[in-house]
Amino acid sequence: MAVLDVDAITKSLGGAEIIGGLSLRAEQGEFISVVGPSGCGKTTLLTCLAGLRRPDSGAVAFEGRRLDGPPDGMALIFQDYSRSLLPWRRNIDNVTFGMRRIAATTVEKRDRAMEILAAVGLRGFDRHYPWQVSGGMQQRVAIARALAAKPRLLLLDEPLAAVDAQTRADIQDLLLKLAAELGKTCLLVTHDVDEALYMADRVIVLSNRPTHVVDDIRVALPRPRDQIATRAAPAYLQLRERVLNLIRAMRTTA
Amino acid sequence: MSSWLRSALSIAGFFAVWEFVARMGVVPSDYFPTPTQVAATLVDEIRRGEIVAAFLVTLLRALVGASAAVALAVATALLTARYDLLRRAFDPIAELLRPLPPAAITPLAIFFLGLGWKLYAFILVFACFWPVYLNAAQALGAAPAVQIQTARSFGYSEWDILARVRLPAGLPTIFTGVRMAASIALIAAIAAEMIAGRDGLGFYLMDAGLTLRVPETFAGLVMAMIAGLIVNAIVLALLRLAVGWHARMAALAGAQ
Ligand SMILES: Nc1ncnc2c1ncn2[C@@H]1O[C@H](COP(=O)(O)OP(=O)(O)OP(=O)(O)O)[C@@H](O)[C@H]1O
Ligand SMILES: [Mg+2]
Repeated sequence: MAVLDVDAITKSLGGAEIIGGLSLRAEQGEFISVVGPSGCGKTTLLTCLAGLRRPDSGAVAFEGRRLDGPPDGMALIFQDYSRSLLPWRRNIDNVTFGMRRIAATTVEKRDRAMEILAAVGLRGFDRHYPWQVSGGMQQRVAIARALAAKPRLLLLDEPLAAVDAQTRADIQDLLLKLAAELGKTCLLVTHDVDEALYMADRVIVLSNRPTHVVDDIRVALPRPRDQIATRAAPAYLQLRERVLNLIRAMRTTA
Repeated sequence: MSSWLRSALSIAGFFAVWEFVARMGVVPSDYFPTPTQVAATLVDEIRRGEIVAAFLVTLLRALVGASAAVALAVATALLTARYDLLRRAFDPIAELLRPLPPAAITPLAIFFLGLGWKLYAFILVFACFWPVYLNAAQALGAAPAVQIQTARSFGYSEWDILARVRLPAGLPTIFTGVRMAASIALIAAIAAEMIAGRDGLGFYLMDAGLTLRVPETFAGLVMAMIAGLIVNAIVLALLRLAVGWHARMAALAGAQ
């Protein structure tokens, strides 16, 4: 059974058709990247997958059950971490905010939050407020908060678009390590073709609006990935060319 | 030089100029006492106790009235933020009633409510309600969409989100309304006391003024000023307690 099964969904917003009959499946433990032209409806798609928006037609099933609202077992990470974190809560309290559905005492939740913060490299920053730490660290807090919900599927909406290159590489590797260790299924939306290929087992390329799947590319590069070696592998460069050509073709037809 | 010392010097300067002008005799001294005369009267009045009782009554009215208004206004805003229908029903009524000056409705309120606590409860709550409600209604609707979507995805209900996201996110703006309400509360309490004419600083001031006891009038003003300072100090303490994070975040953003 697929973790996520999206069957021919459509979605219009404000009279404009954004998603036009989009289907995809994610298997347990897969890391999928989704790339597509800007404004094509990637964020709209993620909100539909997360149960935050109801598709106009078609269906989204998570672990075999049709969605009717945000399900237990999924967590979202947004690009806009500085706004998605709650500025009146310390980092640790932002992490425990993700544990709404976890049955545990307050003390147990705090202990677990401390462990997760340490796992994302934020040991010693639990008492800080999000606005007291750097952008990269804020995104780590958002990742920790998502992991705190014990999700089986992680949805990531351009989580690293706003951080500097070095931080981006560090967090990419952190995400890959955590996803592999914890056996999470991940769906990452990104603008960055290099990031999409580097992270993924499969890259899904979306069309312009109304968006649908144009190509579904298997990335059979060895794991663990390496920021230098992987990006220099001939197979990687071929895939990169293929995806970039697809996107360029869509730019000119748009 | 510390800002404390600077304020103290500036106030001392103000009193010195006042003393000087009063002693020059530009205005007949019967109508314009010197600060030392006012201070002497104030000490006498405090010994007699009447002004202390009036001060306490007014301060209590302002504080209780403002607190009740804040509670009512925030509760109303929470309901209108949660139920759109309620909001659409309530907002036109708000637009209609909001511009009414509290003093204008006092005579009618006396007619219906008498001169007791009900009158003050009504006037103060009416006067203080609007700034808090309007700020709260705006603030509760202004929480960033990503915060709300994040909370929903974690399984928080709409009521949870109201209490744990919209309300804390809106508190800094709600406090803008609370500060306005606090200053309005004292004005409204004193104005109502003047019209009702039974007790409190408003009555004391009116009584002293109409019987031409000028130093007593000034003493009443000093007590009203002190009441204002106390109300303001309480609001600032609450502000620091409730939304200290916001001031520190803003200070950090300003420093960068
Ligand atoms: N609530 C809405 N009402 C009407 N149109 C909307 C609404 N939300 C988004 N849109 C439009 O839908 C389109 C897709 O938006 P969406 O944010 O899903 O795209 P995206 O692919 O995530 O864009 P980006 O690459 O900028 O992140 C955009 O053209 C946007 O203007
Ligand atoms: Mg987007």
